[in-house]
Amino acid sequence: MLFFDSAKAATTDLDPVQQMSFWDRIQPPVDISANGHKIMDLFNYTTFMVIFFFILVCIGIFGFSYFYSHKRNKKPYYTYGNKKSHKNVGLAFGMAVFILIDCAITIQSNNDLVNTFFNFPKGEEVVRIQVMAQQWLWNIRYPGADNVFNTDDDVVTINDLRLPIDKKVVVQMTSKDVIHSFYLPNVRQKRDAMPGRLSRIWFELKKTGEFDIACAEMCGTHHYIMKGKMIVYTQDEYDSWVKQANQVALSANDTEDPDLYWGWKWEE
Amino acid sequence: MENQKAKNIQTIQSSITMTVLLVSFSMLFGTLFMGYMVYRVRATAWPPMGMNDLSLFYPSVSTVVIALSSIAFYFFEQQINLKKFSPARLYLLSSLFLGLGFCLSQVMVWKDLALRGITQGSGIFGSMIYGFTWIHIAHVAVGVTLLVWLVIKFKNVSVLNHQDSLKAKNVGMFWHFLGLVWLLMYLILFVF
Amino acid sequence: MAFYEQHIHEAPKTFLKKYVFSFDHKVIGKQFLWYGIFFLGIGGIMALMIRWALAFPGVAFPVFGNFLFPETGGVIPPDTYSMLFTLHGTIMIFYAITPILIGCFGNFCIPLMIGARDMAFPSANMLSFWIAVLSGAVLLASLFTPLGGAAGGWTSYPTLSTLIGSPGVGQTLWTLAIFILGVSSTMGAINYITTVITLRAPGMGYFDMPLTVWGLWLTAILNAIFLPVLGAGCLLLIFDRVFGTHFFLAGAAATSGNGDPILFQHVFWIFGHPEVYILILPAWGIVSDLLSFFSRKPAFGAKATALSMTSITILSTLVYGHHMFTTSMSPLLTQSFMTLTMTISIPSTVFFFNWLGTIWRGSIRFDSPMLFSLGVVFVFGLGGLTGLYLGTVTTDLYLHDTYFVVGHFHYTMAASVLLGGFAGIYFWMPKMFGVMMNEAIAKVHFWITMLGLNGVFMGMLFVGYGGMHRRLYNPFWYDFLQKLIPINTFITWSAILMGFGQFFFLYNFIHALLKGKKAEDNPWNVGTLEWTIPSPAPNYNFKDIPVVKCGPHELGNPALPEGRDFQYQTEELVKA
Repeated sequence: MLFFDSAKAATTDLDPVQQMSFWDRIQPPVDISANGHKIMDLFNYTTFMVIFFFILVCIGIFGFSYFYSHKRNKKPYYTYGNKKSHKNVGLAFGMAVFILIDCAITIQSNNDLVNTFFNFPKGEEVVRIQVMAQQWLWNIRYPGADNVFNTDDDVVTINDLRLPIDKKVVVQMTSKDVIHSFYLPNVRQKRDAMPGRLSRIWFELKKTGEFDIACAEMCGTHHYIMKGKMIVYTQDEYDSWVKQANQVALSANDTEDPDLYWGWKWEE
Repeated sequence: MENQKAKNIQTIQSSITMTVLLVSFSMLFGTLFMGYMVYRVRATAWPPMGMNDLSLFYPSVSTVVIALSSIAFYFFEQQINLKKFSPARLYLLSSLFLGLGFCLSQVMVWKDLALRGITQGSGIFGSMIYGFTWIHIAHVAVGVTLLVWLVIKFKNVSVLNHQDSLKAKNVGMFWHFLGLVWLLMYLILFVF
Repeated sequence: MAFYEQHIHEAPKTFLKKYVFSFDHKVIGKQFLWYGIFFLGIGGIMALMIRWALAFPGVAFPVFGNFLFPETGGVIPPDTYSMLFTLHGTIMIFYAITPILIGCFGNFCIPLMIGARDMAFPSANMLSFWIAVLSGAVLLASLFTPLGGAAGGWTSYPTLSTLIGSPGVGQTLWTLAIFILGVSSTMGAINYITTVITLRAPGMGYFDMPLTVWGLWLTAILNAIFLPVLGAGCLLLIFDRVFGTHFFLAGAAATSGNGDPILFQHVFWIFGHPEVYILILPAWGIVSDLLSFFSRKPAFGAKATALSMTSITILSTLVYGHHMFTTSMSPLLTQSFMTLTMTISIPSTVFFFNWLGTIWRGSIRFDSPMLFSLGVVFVFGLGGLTGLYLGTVTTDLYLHDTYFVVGHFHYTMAASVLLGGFAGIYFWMPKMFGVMMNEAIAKVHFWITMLGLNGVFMGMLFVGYGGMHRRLYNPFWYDFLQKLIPINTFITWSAILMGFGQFFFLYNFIHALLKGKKAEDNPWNVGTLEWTIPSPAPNYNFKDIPVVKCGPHELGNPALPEGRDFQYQTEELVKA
């Protein structure tokens, strides 16, 4: 990465995007979730390991190419690499990779997975959302005042997800037509929304603001415009928005319209 | 002596090839059976609604016919090894006609299903019955063609040549394999 | 050991028999080479069009944009863009790499390197090529159907690839083409397997085979086992599209569907993960051999290399689930797939250790095949190591379907295989066509390619880490991707550089064919069997079937008489 620092954009334009260094540019979008750092920590650990072992490979390629070129080394060392010492060095590298990479990463990732990412929160405190993906938008459903899905008072929006800060959020999703993927870059997670199946994702937000929801799975010609927005509110703002949205929903929902009832019974 | 060695090697070569080929075909049909397992495990009720009045009659006829055809082919191989060519021809012909009979009985299976209102579009169960049997019958068609080819090859044979006996053996392996696949399909699609 | 001597075929007389419907494995290999290079060109132009759309959205594609897309004034429209990346993937994997690495080198090298006069079944071999041609024709025809070619990604996940997502006949033809190609490759694979088992020269044990043959043989085994799986998936998809079955239909848009689109993903990746090893194994084999030949010392731990290739082959069949971490598989499955995936790093370490051990204390000649081989070690190092992020479930939750994945698999499947293929072409050119390629141009070609491809794929890793997801017609639709514009532009310029570099190869190749320097019988001074015969190889290969007496990598033996540093496999091993 160091060798790219020289590529720093040296423009005089005042636009902050244009003045970013290479290092800033490749940073992932800001992490707004409570657990996203676990993914990033593991990423960084893996990166250190990758750089370490790749440097070893490079030392091998470039170093040996330099020292053992035909010009410098006329007489090659005749060996099949089956001496005890050769095998031991190979074994040492194998063990190093096994312990430093395989074991460390697998154990850490397994723990994160079981304890955090697949450990879905339950109970009344959890904010529940249903998402129905379709070409090329996100249908979003809140349970409304009765906290039951697929009833007359559900708040239904398109591409507009509003969530409170510091609350655990569980999203259940499916798709109407083709496979989509509910991708929250700022939460560092994505989950496929598949027709005929329910999948779910949970996260907890730590920053207010407006963020992107993207579709990460190829879903047709206009895959690239399948963008939703996620607005994170403080608890007070969220409560007042929910109250207002419930009232609007009660008066505006057309209960005759079968298309309104695309929701399903919440599955814990 | 040299001749005998060459024959042995040809036998080995053809059996390696045939084994690999049959592994490939097993993977093809194995994938279909894996698909069946996935659907079956995920289904809430099996067979799905409205699918339980399948008639076992025509599928069972198919099973019997293809089994007889396989047996006839087995006797054909026995007879050519004993160098008795006229009974061998008879067995081969009956194996061929039983194979054609199997094709006919498959058509009857489809007709019967259609009469009961089951088409390839009626749910996953209908799709599987039709899809799997289509793929199978396409292979049976290849098998029948190979049998016809054998019939022509053995029309005037009076001395058994090593090449021909290998050909008969390989076609036999393929034909028995198709019978086995049908038996599995019969069991999972129609019986259970 | 099963061995028999094939008869010497008479040289074909007519043009048609000699160059078109030839039974000769060498001619079929060359046919596959032309076929692969043709499709490599098409796939490469498609790649440049994709890159152009990503870096300069809304700008007309230069040179022939106006000719291809007159209605938009030369700008690539979004539906064409999806078609482009779908066919770029399909063509590169199935119609460029497979023919060159497996079709060409498999056909050309296997009989020559094991001392056989031809493949076990020459006619099946010919049929395999012509079926591949048919498949290519079907694929190209799909581009001219009313709604255009397939546009569901090279993975063609249903339900996007069913009538719900792509109503055009192009997708049906695509599926059919893949199925036909599967038939062709399976035939080829069965032929290779039988040839290697039964036609090895007397005295040649499995570990006396060059590692190239090992790689190609393992590839053939994987092909024979797993291509039918894809074939079954393709057939079911065709049934869904043409005959109205419901295997993969589900969801509200499929009116009566209760099928399972995820089943296709399982089937696809049961085949698809071995497929990436199918593509890379021949390149590994070639590189393992070439590193030894040009370091003038025996391959370091050749047996271990062959065995770790075998264990990777076996492991590759068990890890396919890591392509599906985001589909909410059961946690147990997810964890087991992750653990199995991680174990692949151990045989890979053995590989790298042996490769580096081979050049350690060698006497390295930097001829172009060697440069390309060292390039493979470099890029495959990067590609393999970046795979760690994607085999880990939690980091994959973020990186799945981003450009990080694209960068990773291009490093392993595109960069390594392409460089390995070039190494092979430069190395066997004398034996194939009896001419030498120009070393200086080859070196320029190497450095430009290396520079270009690292710019492209390293850049992809970075934008992927920045969060940019795949298959976006216009990535700048999203605010968080705005800052990546300059990097995307840089990637595109690198891609153009890399594409430009291939003209050096084309020039060199055609120039060598037309008026290249006549090659000696053994220009690289190596001892494997194909170098014991004249260049180019005569149609019967070996006048007398050779008897093998030592391994393929006997170089630099100090006991050899003065003035020689290698011995042929037909010679008794010289002992000190």
